[in-house]
Parts: sequence; structure tokens; C-alpha cells
Amino acid sequence: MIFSSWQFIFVFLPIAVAGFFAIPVQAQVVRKCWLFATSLFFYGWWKVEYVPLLLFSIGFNYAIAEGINRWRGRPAARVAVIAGVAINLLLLGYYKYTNFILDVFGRASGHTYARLDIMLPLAISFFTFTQIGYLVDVYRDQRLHYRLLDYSVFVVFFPHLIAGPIVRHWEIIPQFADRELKANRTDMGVGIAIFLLGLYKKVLLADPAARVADTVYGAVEAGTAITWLDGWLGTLAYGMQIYFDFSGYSDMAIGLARMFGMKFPCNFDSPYKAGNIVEFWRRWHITLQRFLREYLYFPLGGNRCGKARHLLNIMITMVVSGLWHGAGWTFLVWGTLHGVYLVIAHVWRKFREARGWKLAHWSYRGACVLVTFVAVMYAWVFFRAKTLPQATRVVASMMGVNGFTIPDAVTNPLAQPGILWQKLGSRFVTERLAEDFYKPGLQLVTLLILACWLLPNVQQLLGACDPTLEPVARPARWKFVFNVWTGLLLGALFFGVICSYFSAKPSPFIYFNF
Amino acid sequence: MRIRWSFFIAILFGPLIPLAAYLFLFHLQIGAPTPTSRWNFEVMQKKRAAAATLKGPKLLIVAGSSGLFGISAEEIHRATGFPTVNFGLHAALGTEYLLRLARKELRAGDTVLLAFEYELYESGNLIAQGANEPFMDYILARDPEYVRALPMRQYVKLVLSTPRRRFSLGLRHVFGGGKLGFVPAMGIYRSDYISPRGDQLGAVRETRTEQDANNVGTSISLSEGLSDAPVGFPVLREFCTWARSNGIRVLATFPNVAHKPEYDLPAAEKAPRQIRKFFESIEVPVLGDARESILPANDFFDTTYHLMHPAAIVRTQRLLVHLAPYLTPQPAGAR
Repeated sequence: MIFSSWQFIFVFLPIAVAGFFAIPVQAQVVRKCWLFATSLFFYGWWKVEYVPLLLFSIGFNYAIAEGINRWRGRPAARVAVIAGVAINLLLLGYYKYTNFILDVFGRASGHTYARLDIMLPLAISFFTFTQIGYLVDVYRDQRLHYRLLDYSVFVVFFPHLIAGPIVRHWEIIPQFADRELKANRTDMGVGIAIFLLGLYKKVLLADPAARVADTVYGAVEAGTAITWLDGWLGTLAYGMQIYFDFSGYSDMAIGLARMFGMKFPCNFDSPYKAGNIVEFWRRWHITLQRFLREYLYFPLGGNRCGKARHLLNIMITMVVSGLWHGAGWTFLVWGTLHGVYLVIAHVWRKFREARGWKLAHWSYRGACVLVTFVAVMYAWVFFRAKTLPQATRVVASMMGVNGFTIPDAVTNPLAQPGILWQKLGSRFVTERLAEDFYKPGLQLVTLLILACWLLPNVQQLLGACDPTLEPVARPARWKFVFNVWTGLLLGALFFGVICSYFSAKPSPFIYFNF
Repeated sequence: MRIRWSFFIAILFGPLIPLAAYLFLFHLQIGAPTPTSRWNFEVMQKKRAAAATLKGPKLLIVAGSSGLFGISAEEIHRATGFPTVNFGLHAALGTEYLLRLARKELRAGDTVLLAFEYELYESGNLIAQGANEPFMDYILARDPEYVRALPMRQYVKLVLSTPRRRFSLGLRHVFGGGKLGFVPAMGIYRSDYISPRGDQLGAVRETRTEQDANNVGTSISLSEGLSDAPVGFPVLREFCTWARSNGIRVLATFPNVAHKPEYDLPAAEKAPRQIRKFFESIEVPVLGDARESILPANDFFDTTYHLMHPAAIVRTQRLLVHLAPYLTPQPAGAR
């Protein structure tokens, strides 16, 4: 069930919330059971056959955690945690990477192995990582022990189950294990506001951007030689789509949790405002990076074992991050590319520090934001394209290999730079833009980029309501006020969502694929 | 911080404000003749005028643009002397709507030849299926009667699914005082390229551009076959029942389509077989064979269905071998 679908908004969510509030606060166990049952229903709506897999995963990890606690101090505890993590990874690997591995072996050995008919269970990457984190934490901290019901609700709680944020047990379970699980009118109001803002990001911003991106990448898949403008427009549109789609999903998840009186960690913090790639990864999919940092990068040695090893650890972490997103060469290249970006950023920082350069001027910051943005966009090409040759063709087009196509209106001002590009071997093609694709596409992408750079994010807007577990670092000057007018505005925007139900099938969130 | 109930109530009522404004503006533009719907409208007017001038029994060729480009009413009339009108229109209008328009022109004793494109057998009620933009544009601009007569469920769907671009075009026309009547040059897609009997003129090799030639694609419905239960079949069955009860003879044939290698594979036999079986089940004669209507791609103008004029004459002559025996005036009331 998709958060933006009418089935979720008009049927599932009202029933889940009404049922939760109908159960007396004193009946805490019943309230948790209700959340557990509704979450399983939510998961099973996609494919009921995979509910047993989810239940097995919960039961298995809980049992391993209990075993670790029981055998603490003995070698068996270490064996249990290793076995637990390994079995989780094997399960994930079987569903996610079997065909990719067969493909790799096939290419290496010159044989062709038949692809297995394996359907990736929804959210397996998310609930596997969530539980691996739990096992490792139990092994590290002897005080950790939760009741099975609390643990189960933590894993399956529907707002984060499908596409995160990747929550940590110590963030979530204490919110309902140590105190009463209850919500008040303020939680409900704040939750609805965050949920609706996320919904609008998805339906009103990400989905239109997706249509532009799909047009361009669809043409690439069909073998069309796209132009410079096509490549950039499609990639910028995809960059906007994935941001508004995933951050919209995260906002909706945060809002939904708040409706039940719970808080989630922040998952996005205006990543396209980042001044370097290190900062970008502190702002993009924060909970995944936090997981990789704590359970992979630090165990590898982090930055405490020499310069070369530090850079190697970064590369390993980012390659794993790429493969976590998908089993394919494109994701591998995407992760590697980001690893290279991070290595360059660290080397540059060391170099700058060694020279004593401060570089604090706003123009330097602006240039850094722009360079980071462009680098991230180039990397998105590999994330979006279905194959490496397709990605290469898009990158080539973005570099002008297939010529430049620009609107008539800007032909003359660009004539001189055009000569330079011609000398560099590119063709300069003047073409009148087709109104039904380029003009609205360019307008939309420009507006979305400006919104990313100039507007505060949802957490900043609602900073006064403590929307996330962490305090909001830079609350917006213009604060969201809960009154009739903002209520009307939030409601009025919902009209756009209603129209989308009639004109298009609800498109799934990109991160549902991972 | 305490949030008042008025905030929640305002959220619930919020969508009503844009909905009211939208409905008001939507109603204002129903019937506003957009320039984008003009070609369809003028072509149809010309064909309706052609049909209206014929007093006795006539042959009406009902099809999408494959019939418009590929079957020559002039040639049929020349060869048989039988009054004929080519009622081929834009296929985007869908099977149900094309048949609705045809019904208005048919009288007892007439003969109707259905020559729909393969895709149109998968087209039922366009609004229920998810209407395409040319269809929405046309009915909103040129057929307000049809829009207002829609069942409530379909009307709501049409209102809320109208693309933003079409909505703003209609508004610009209303508030621009109808000054947007200009249609950019569209080659032969102008009503003065329609013959007095409704045939498309001007589709000849000399006017075909390289881009046009590149647009001659493949019919997936032919190469892969129709679905197991094409939604167009019930619509056609209902039309044939109506025609019979009104003394109108119904014939069917296959559309002219540009040859592609895929059509030589066994899978491409599925759609013609399904269509023949369907028409035979409702006792409608099917003229000719699908193979006869698959013609060299080089004879097509700018799509896989748009035959060039000289080839259309040859195609019509081939069709006449099967059609001519039926072109005898039948007494009114006969089936």
C-alpha cells in the first residue's frame, strides 16, 4: 500500500488511527497489538506471501538476541552474533543479489546461467538492516533486553517499515516501552501537517518531475541519441524527482509516526544546499549513512588507521552503499563514484588546511554548492539508467558529445561560448524547443531547483514543534502556525492530490525498490 | 503548544475552495472551441455535410484515420456508382465515440463498413478507461451536449482528470475572447485536404518528409495480438445490434497497415483471428483477409496506418472485390 494512495489515506490510515485512539490508554498491550496487526496488514497488502518471511525474520533475530544475552561473556555469544548477521545478509543476498552474482560469474566464466525467478520482498533491505543493527548493539551492550511485543512493533511499525527512516531500537522502543504509548491533539495536528507536506512533495512535485525524467530516459532506452539539453533536463528532473520523492516519503513517515505520538529521526536536511560531498551525505538519507558509519565504516577502522586506509574505508563504505541500493553495475558505479567524490573532498580539505586557506567568502560557498550539485547530478545518471551503456550515453550527451540544443531566445548570447565548444569537438545545434515538453519541463525543473536552494525544509518550517528526535539545527525564520488559514491552505493543496487520483495511477516511491 | 480544532476542520474544508473555483472555471470553458480541436471538428463537419446530401441508401466507411487515408470513397463510387462517404476520423476519439457519431448519420437501408485499427478493438468507453487528451479536448470544445449528458461518475472523472494544459488552454480561449483560433501550419492536416466524399487528399510521396517516413512504426496490437477480452468488442456488439434493429447492414474489414517483419510471425495471426471470430459470432461478414491489408511500408505517409493516396486507390480496388456484391440498395427494414 502506497502512502499517497487513496486506499491508504481514506481507508487504512483513518481505521488505524481511530482504532488506536479507541483503545483505552491503560490497555497498552492492546494498543501495541493493534499497531502490530495494522502494520502486518499494511505489509501484507502488497504480497501476503511475504508476511511469514517478515515474521520469521523478527522471530529469528529476537531469538538470536536472547541467545547473545544468555551466553554473554562466552564464545557462544560471539558465534551467535556472527551467525545472526551472516544469516540476515544471506537472506538479503539471496533475494537481492542472486541473479546479479549469477550474471557476474556467467560473464567471468563465459557461461550463461539462467536467471532465477526471485521476487524481492518489499522492504527487505530496510528491516534487515534495522535488525542487524539491533543484534550488534545487543552484543555490544549487555543492558539491552526488550519484550517480544515491543521488539516486533519496533520492526514492523508501518510508517518506517517499507522505506525507512532506518530507525534504531534505542530511539524507538523507549518511546512506547518505558512510557505510555499515547498521542494528543497536538501530536495529531503536527503529524497531519508533516504528512500532508510530504504528500504534496511526492504528488505535486516529484511525480511531475518523474514524467520529464521518464521521457528522456525512456528515449535513451529506446536508443535515441539525446542532446545536451535532453540529458541535462532529464537528469536534473530525476535529481529533483528522487529528492522530493524520498524526502516526501520520509516526511510522511515522520508525520504518521507523530500521529501515534512517536518521533522518528530526521532523514533529509536540504541535501542540495550542501557545500561539499561530505556535507551532502550528512544531509541525504541520514539514517542509512548513520547505519553504514556505525556498523561498517567504524568497524573497518574509520579514520584512525592511517591516511590510505581511511580513504579505502570510505571507498568500501560507499561501494556497499551503492550495492545496498540495488544489485547492478549501475549502482556499483554510483557508489564508487560517490566514494571517489568523498576521497577527493577529504584530500582537498587536508590540502586546504595544510595551506591555511580559510575560504569562507559567500561566493566560495556558492561555487561549492554548485559544484557539489553538479557532481551529484552526474552520479544520479548511473542511479537512474537501467544499464551502464545507457548511463554512458546520457553522461556523454550532458558533456555535449551529441551537440548542444538551446532555445532560440538564448542562441545569440551563447554564440561565443558555442564556438569554444565547437573547437573542443562538439556540435552546436540550434533548435526551437518543442513547447509541449521542453518549456514546461524547464520551468518545472528550474522552480524545483530554486525551491531546494532557497526554501526551508519541512523540519525547519515546523522547528517549533520538535518534529524529529533531534532538535532542528536551523529553524526557519518563517514558522508554520497552526491556525484556520494554514489549515485551509493545507487542505486546499489536497485538491491536487485528488486530481492525481483521477488522472494517473499512484506511482510507487522510488525507495520501495530497495 | 495547543492546536485548536479549527485547524483540523479547516483542513477538511480546504479542498472545497479550489474544487469550487475549478468547477466554475471548468464549466465556463465547456464549448469553448480550442484551436487544437479544429481539425477534427472541421473534418467531421465536412463528412456530415457529405452524408447529409445523400438521399438514398449509402455506404458509410467508419474507421479511425486508417480508413480516412486508406479507403477511397471516391473510388468506390466511381467503380460501383454506390453513394459512399468516408467517415474515417481521428482514432484517438475511440471506438464508442466514433460509433456514436456514425449512428447520427445512418438511416434504414444504409450499409456501414467497419474498418477499425487493431488498437481500437481495445478501446471501449474512453472516459472510464482513462481518456486521452485529443478526445478530452474534442468533446470539451466541440461536443458540450455529450459532456453534459455523461453519467455523474464519468463526468466527475472527466472534470478531475482533464490535463492542466488543456484546462489552461480552454481558459485562455474563454478569457482571450476566442482570439486563439490560430492553428499552426499542419501540412495536410487541414479540412481543405478532405475531398467532398470525405477522403484524405495530399498524402503523396512528394509531400512526405523524412520525419514523416520515420514515424511509420509498428502496431503492437497486431504483432502481439489483442487481449483475451478486448473492451471494444462489447461496444461493437451493441452497435451491430442497434444497426440490425434499424435496418442497417454492417460489414467489417481489416485496416490497412504498414508491413513490418513482426507481422510475418505466427503471433501476428492472433489479432485478425480474434477479430474474425468476434464478427462471425455476431453474424457480421468480414471482407477479405488481414494479409491483404498489410501493405509495403514505403506506401505509408506518416504513421503505420496512413496510406498514401495512390496506394489507397489500389487498396480500395482490392477491397471492392469483396465489397461490391454487398453494394446493392437493400429495402428499408431489411437486415
